[in-house]
Amino acid sequence: MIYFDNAATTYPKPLAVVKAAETALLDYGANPGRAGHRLSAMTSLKVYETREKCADFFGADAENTIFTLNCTEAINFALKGVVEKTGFCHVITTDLEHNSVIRPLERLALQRKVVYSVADSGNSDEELIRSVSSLIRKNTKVIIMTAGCNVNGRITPVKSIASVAKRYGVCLIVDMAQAAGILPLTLQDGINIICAPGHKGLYGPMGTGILCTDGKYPLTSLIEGGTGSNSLEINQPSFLPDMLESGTINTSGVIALSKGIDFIKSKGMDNIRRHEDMLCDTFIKLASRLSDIVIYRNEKQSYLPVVAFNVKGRDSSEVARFLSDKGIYLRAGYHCNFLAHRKLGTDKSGALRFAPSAFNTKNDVIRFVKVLSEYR
Amino acid sequence: MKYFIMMKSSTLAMRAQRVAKGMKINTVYTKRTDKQGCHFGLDTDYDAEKLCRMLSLHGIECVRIQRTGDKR
Repeated sequence: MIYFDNAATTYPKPLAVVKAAETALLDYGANPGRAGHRLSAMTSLKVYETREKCADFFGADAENTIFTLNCTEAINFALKGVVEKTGFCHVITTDLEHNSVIRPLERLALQRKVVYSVADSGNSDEELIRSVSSLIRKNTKVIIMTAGCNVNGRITPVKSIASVAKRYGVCLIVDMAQAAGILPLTLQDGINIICAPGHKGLYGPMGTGILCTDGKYPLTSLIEGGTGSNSLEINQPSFLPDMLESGTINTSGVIALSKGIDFIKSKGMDNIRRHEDMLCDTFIKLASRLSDIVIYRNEKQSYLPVVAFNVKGRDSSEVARFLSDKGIYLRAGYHCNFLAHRKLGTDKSGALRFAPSAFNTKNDVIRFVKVLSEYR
Repeated sequence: MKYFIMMKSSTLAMRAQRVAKGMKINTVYTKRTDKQGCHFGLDTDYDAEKLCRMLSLHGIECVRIQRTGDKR
């Protein structure tokens, strides 16, 4: 089996992550932040250690680092939280966004809580920066954007957009679904809120996500309930992380996520990216020799280790099915991102997505292209 | 003398404990309940006011200090 669907979820996980999840279920079975008994305190400490590690990874304070179920939940908390506090406003996003950004935004618009504009990313960083800047209005309060497109991996100029956001006093929320663990972006780069999944480039289990805020833009809860704090008060706590962590968190997942971050640190983010870029380059080089392969990349842009491609005239899902039958797993279709597919001109056919991880090898890629060449 | 230093949340209590540990001050992460609710914080026999001042330098505000009779 060769797995190239790592942009959806990395697999396999480092052994330390698997073992940590097992240990958490066996040895840290109490509810963290609820009881005062020793097992609860031990579990709370393990969760706190992960919180501190995630905070450090993204340049946040521990209490401003919130565990969510996934990146989508983090994005919803961030966007809706800021908008709720701000009141009716204008929001800017880009034409590279996943449905996890555009759907909450559209819902807010339908509820008449925001109006939003979609910046044209054009074909270069400069065009995207120009487009975002030109869309700023007096009532623009939020820019929400991906750090790297989940369809073809296009990297966005987050630091430059952060300068624009800062200049106009606009909150910058960055979706790091594909970039966390690959791009060393932190809150110190001018981002106000980072949303990241635990189960992709951070190599944690599914059911883990992170929201880190610099605290400059107040948030509000979307889900209320038990937090283990202020128990006699009818209102949700107004402080973080409790305000956004109602109900029991995915404790075993969070504890295991800690080992995923250790894995990245031990390997080195640069080394992981270099390795995955090498695999993408190998794929592009070999696949380009096949006459009927279309690769969606542009030399003016930089990319995460993700490659969108198609076999000319063929349904992308059919190609993926053929590959699956041969033991090669990657994702075809629209990748929950109609905007980016529209931009690439693949909104009628979808595309295949090659997304390697630190665990793939050059031989995996060679074998994959060989099988691909047999598809007729 | 033993004290309970009340924190706003379990997370802050954990953070405070690690900061205290870094200063070689012994504390125990504790939950206490009173008529105002459930509270997380640190039990310590160190000078609680002084510890709170030191925690404040790390951005951690103590909610309240209580004298306790716990034997730990």
